[in-house]
Amino acid sequence: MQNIIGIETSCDETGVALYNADRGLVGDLVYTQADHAAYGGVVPELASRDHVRKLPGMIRELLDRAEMTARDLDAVAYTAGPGLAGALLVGASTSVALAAALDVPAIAVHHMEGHLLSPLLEDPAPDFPFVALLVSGGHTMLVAVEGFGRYRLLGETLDDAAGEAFDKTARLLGLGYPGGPEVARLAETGDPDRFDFPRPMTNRPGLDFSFSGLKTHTRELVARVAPEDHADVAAGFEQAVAETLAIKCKRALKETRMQRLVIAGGVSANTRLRAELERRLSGRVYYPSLKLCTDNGAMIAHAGWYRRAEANRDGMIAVRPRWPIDSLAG
Amino acid sequence: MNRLGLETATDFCSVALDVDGEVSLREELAPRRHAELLIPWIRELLAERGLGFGDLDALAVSRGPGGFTSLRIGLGVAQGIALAHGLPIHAVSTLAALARAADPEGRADHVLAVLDARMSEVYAGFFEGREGVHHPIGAEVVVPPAKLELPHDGPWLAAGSGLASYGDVLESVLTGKVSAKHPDIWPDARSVLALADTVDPVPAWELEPKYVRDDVTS
Repeated sequence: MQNIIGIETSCDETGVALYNADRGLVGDLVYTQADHAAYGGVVPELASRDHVRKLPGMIRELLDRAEMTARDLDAVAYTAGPGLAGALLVGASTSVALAAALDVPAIAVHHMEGHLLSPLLEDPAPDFPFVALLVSGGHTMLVAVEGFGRYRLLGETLDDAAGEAFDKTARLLGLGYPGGPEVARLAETGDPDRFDFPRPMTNRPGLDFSFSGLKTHTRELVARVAPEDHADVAAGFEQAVAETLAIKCKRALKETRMQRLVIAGGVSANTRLRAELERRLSGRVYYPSLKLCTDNGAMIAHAGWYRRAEANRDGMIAVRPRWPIDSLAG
Repeated sequence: MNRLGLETATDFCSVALDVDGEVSLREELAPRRHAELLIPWIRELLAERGLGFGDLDALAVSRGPGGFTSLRIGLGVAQGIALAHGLPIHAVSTLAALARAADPEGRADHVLAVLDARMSEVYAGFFEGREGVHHPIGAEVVVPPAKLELPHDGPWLAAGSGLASYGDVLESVLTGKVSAKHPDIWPDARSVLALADTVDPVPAWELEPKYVRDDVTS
């Protein structure tokens, strides 16, 4: 199984990539959908429609750029879950049919496993074991990665994902979508210490997160301050999220006795979060490149190669919108 | 000439293989089961004729309107097969396929194709029969059944799940204008194949579904 194409359509990024067993990543295209901005969050039906529009052309472009044809593919890996059911089905239908028509196997990949293994695509790559913080618009979780297929969920958000909290705060402050970069930009000129913000769930044991209280706090604060105070609100909010995440990461390393933290997901690009992690866990944090942090096809092709033993030819187009990470076997 | 036809825009899942004019079928009323049935059925149809995917010359697929999810499963499968072997795809209107399924010989003068669109609405298309061919009249629409406006008084041959789901409401709209009603006729892959040549084929990356219902954010 030399050439594996990876197809990612679980949310609002369409990703396709080629992984070669000898050469590693040989192609990688990501399209980020723009039409959700007007709604302040991902509209599932619009996401599905955009995937249909984009995916086939991206597959063609990927193969063209690699100077390959579909017939050079040895397997098709696709994100089977978790994610938006309709969006997942677009990628799954195309992938399973592509595999069947080429008479090669299809490989159903767990989106989160794609993220967890993606640091291994970097050079140098971190060694197992490590703790992974996955933090994006859809997920906030800490996972102990002992090795391939050996994942233990240490904690996750009980309500909003961190990225979602950024999106909602951006809306409260009259900023655009996605909220992370918008809030961060405004926060640059703000004073993070001017207003008090809670650090949710840091004063009790455990590694779960909760961001809905922080959102309520921000809403009440925004209601009683002047517009010129918004930069301070943004800075205070961002600092609260960054510290909360960093405190839990430190605790996760301590509890697992692991030496290294790997971060992934769109929110991991946040500079205040990176500064907080550096301050508390200096030298122990591994940052994959930004391209690998957001949703992409490369991590799916790569995880597909790891899961090649589970490749099948049954022709079933099956997705799992909810799929617990610790149900995966090694 | 070997052509594969797919019709997945409704609960009726239908696949047809045309080998030099001889058509074989797999089809079933199978709500929410398209994803598991489609590829095994295609493989069976090809195997029965001793063919593989690489022996196909073209695909024809129902391009909507219909159920968003099942519609996209059919489109995705068509795109996947087309990408594998560089095949062209004929994107056929689901409502035209329904009209054709209801009147395969093209004998009716006027055909109303009406599908249940959920959310208390129907998708409707109007066709005029000339020389055995159904020509569309005006645009395909999505409307509450009570607001369905026929282009003229017919008489119409009416077909589709819209009649079954909204029989009472449509009765008042259609009274005196309908010659026959077929609430149990579904758009099928045989009809999609039959209409393939009426549509210019496109490569997989230019295939566009036609949802008709485009306001999906409110």
